[in-house]
Amino acid sequence: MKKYPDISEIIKQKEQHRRVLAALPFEQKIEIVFKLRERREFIKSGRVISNSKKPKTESG
Amino acid sequence: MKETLKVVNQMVRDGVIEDYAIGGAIAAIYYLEPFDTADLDIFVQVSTTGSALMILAPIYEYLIKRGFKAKGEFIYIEGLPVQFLPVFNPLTEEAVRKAQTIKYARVTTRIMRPEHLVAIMLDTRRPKDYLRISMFLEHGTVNLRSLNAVLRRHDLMKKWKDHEHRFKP
Repeated sequence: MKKYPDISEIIKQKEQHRRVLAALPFEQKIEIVFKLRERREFIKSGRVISNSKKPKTESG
Repeated sequence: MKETLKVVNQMVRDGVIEDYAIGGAIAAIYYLEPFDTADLDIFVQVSTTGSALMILAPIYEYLIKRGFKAKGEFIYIEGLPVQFLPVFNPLTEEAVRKAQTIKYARVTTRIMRPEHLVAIMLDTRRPKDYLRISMFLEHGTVNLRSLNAVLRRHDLMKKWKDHEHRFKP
């Protein structure tokens, strides 16, 4: 039988992260909501970052 | 959102609305972790009676006169889409009346209590409402005794029993 990894620790950490987010001050939560909204609008716009517009790194 | 709330508070002072409370997703976010939402729902108590459109007309007039733009069901106040909803049954009326007063960036505002939000979501019964009810229960932000009282007062006990398998952790 195939053995799968135990991800209970990852799930526990996700749950902990959600609790941390829930405990943030309201103002900070609303800032996150606005950022999520911006991200949604960006995805909806269908814009893509072309390779030519990517900032050049030192190596290339 | 701070400026938006200042405008809504001014509407109360100017007598356009009697009372208000933030409901919907933004109110849920006050108690839960943040998630994506499109608008700010403001439930309003007004003295006028009639259809929802008639009740909302003075609110729209007031805001449009001040340069805010209406688009679809929203009115944009300081860039934020706001939906005004008149209280439409005894539950939403009680939710506005018993809302708690909080501060947002030093601006006083009113926000529905978790027990009322859960009861309204149960009454609305969209899939996302069930999901949010389960989030409220999981976080333990709801006082179950108060919730039971709200459900009993508004004849929602049966609905709760019928649907609790969808949101009970």
